[in-house]
Amino acid sequence: MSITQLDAKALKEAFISGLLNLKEHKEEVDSLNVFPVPDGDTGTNMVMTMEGGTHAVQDGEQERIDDFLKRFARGVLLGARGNSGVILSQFFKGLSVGADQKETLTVPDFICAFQKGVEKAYESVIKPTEGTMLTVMREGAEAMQRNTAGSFEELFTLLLTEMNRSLINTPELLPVLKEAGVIDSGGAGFVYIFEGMQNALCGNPGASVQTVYDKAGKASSRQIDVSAFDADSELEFGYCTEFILQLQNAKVDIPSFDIAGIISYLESVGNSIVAVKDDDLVKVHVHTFRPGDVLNYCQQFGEYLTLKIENMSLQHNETLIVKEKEEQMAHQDVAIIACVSGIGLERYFKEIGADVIVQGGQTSNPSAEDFVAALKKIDADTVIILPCNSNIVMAAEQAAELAKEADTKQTRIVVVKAKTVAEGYSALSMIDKSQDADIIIRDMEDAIKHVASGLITTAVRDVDYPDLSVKKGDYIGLDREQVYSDSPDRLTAVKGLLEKMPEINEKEVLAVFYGKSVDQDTLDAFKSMLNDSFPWLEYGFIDGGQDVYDFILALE
Amino acid sequence: MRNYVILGDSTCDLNKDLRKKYGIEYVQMKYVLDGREYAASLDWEELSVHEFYNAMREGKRITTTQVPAETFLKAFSDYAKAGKDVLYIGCSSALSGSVNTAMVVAKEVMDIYKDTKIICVDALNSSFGQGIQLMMASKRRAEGKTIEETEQFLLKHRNCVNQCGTVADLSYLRRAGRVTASSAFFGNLIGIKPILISDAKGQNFAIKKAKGARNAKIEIVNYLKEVGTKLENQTIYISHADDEASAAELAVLIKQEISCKGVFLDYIGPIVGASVGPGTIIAYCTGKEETRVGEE
Repeated sequence: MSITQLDAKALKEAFISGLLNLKEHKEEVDSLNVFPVPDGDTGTNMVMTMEGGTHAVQDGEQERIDDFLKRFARGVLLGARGNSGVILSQFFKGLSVGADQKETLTVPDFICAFQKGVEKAYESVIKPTEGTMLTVMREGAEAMQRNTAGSFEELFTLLLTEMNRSLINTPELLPVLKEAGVIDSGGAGFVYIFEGMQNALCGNPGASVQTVYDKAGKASSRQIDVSAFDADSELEFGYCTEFILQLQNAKVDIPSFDIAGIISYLESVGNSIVAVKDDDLVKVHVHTFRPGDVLNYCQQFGEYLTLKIENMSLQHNETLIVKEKEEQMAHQDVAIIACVSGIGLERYFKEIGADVIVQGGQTSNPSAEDFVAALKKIDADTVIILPCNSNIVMAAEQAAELAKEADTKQTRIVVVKAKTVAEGYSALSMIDKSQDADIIIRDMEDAIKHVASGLITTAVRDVDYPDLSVKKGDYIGLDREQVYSDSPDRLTAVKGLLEKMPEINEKEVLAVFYGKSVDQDTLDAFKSMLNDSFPWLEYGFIDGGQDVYDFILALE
Repeated sequence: MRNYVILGDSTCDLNKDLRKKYGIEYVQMKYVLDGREYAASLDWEELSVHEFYNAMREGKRITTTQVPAETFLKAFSDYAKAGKDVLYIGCSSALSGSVNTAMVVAKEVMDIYKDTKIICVDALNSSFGQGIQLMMASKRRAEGKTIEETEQFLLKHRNCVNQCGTVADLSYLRRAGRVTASSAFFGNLIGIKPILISDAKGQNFAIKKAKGARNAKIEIVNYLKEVGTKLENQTIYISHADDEASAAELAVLIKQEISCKGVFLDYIGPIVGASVGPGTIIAYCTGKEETRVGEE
């Protein structure tokens, strides 16, 4: 059967399948990191970004494809995390623009919309770099335009062939990839999405929807406030009940066991039912007022591997509570949002002038939506956002755009491009919040120019650079550009890094944010190393409590 | 015209030579270290300058007291008996109560010695910022200006004596309650140096911050350039709290950047020193009137 028309339903299934396929390869995409640092996050970011889209369309009615794509693109945008996520969100935005006024998509329509997506994606990056996701999608678009395809099956075959070729070629275009011996991670993620879409469109059963929901459920599970349900509450929404049942030979004949019986029982006690049999496992999702009955019923066929029962009144209330907690802050001339993670860093950044912390860092980039939520809490004439991470700059800028669209208060939102924690710290440390916004912004930008950032962490794989050999498990010292030192000894790596940091002899002040893994003895040794080797530096240590990096250095 | 005494106090930081050259007298405040009270001498007779600042470096707390009323009473009465008027130019009233005490005592003394004029001027500055005004007054006196003319001159120009400095450790000023700066401004920041001026009300006011000692010196020089007028005719004064190397560095920078008659370095005396702490450096010149006011 060949598909020549794509409707919203088919595309939705394709997107879900694309997400699923990406999820399956998430760790692999994460590991495609230029630096041998355990902070790769492209896969994770792209998954979360796609989830934004699939979440937004999960309860879609039958609808036109342009309306569907608009909703999907909006969701992707709100979920976008990291640069790869932002680029991806712009691709879907373009796709939706290209599909405007269409009820369904023909093959030429799709090619045209895809091309729009590529254009939008390129526009989202100030200086587009080749050898990245951008190249992969652009070459995919070009291949579709060069060739003729009679059906979506043919189209996706040639699209994926070309994108795979393009992906493998990325190290030839981008030297940092070649040096590190990896292909581009964003490009890989993009290919996995389209591979998953191909599976769905071309009838590869592959993806089953509930697995996506299972995983999504885990990803977004959070602490639930039980105070929302008390002695006087009434059960309004029932229990979200999910389990995996191990069928047992002692109880049933597994090969011939039909879950139709379970489904018809579930229909009698609940709704929102998803039930599938996978070999000797049965996965069930149901909303019911009587979960005990469901469990007793199903136990006659086997035993439970996993069980999750949640009072949906709490889930429901939780959403309300989260909204309520976004209490308005008092009006300020200038308010500052900074993005850091680590209990010490968060506290410290607040102490030195940040009004709202958006949690996030290298391993968990916040989405534009997280920033929008933070912006909502603030009432200020000017809001300054300090992303404190190069991967968060774009999400912050996007949030600024989104917030401007929705804003009635005419808030001026400025992203000061602090690309590291050190830069964010330096920017905050040099301002006087009683000054005018323009002076504050100028002081921040000045400060950022004069700070050098350094990081110490553990290498996750061997790499050979022209003048440095990195061994897996060693401590390495790096900045945003380069790995400078490698040693099995942590402080030797620190010293090596400091010695090679630009203008170290001209610098006067060193702030050290130490991570979770650092003990007092190490700090004492660090201080004596500084006294011996860098006596001109005035230094201070701050308990950052961050993961991944043993030390974050700000040298000014 | 009656002869008049030009009188300073322990915060004017003029050494013996300068006091002699300009004919300036001073009344002493007191400080307390380890439970013992010392006269705040500008000639470091009891404790040497190093002994004094080292005690602070060791973490010893030094408290200070204003000029006692009794000291004023004796000084004013003695001058009156000798047939002299008095122009007292006292430490900024934002930092010390001495000027107020002096005014109260002056009235009493003038009630007794009806012919005597005792005029008290709030310098709205301290250290050389006050010392420069004493020297200015001395020059006016030498030019034959009356005590009232000199007083009027000072009232007009006291905020044109500009001072700008930085401290090695802000906690001394904070503890002494002698700086207006919010905690968010300085928080727990590493290597941040406040750039302090004496504002229009004579308070220490942090106008900005610099990162690192060198940048702080650059900011001080920038301030001098910005506010100083006819710097080529001026001697620029630097006072420091026992950090000669740092003061000398600042002097070199000033000479590089500003064409002036010369740079004069000396120690910050015990009273100002006790509140700013070791490592403080301050530079002084005259120029534009300082109109800024820090937080109340």
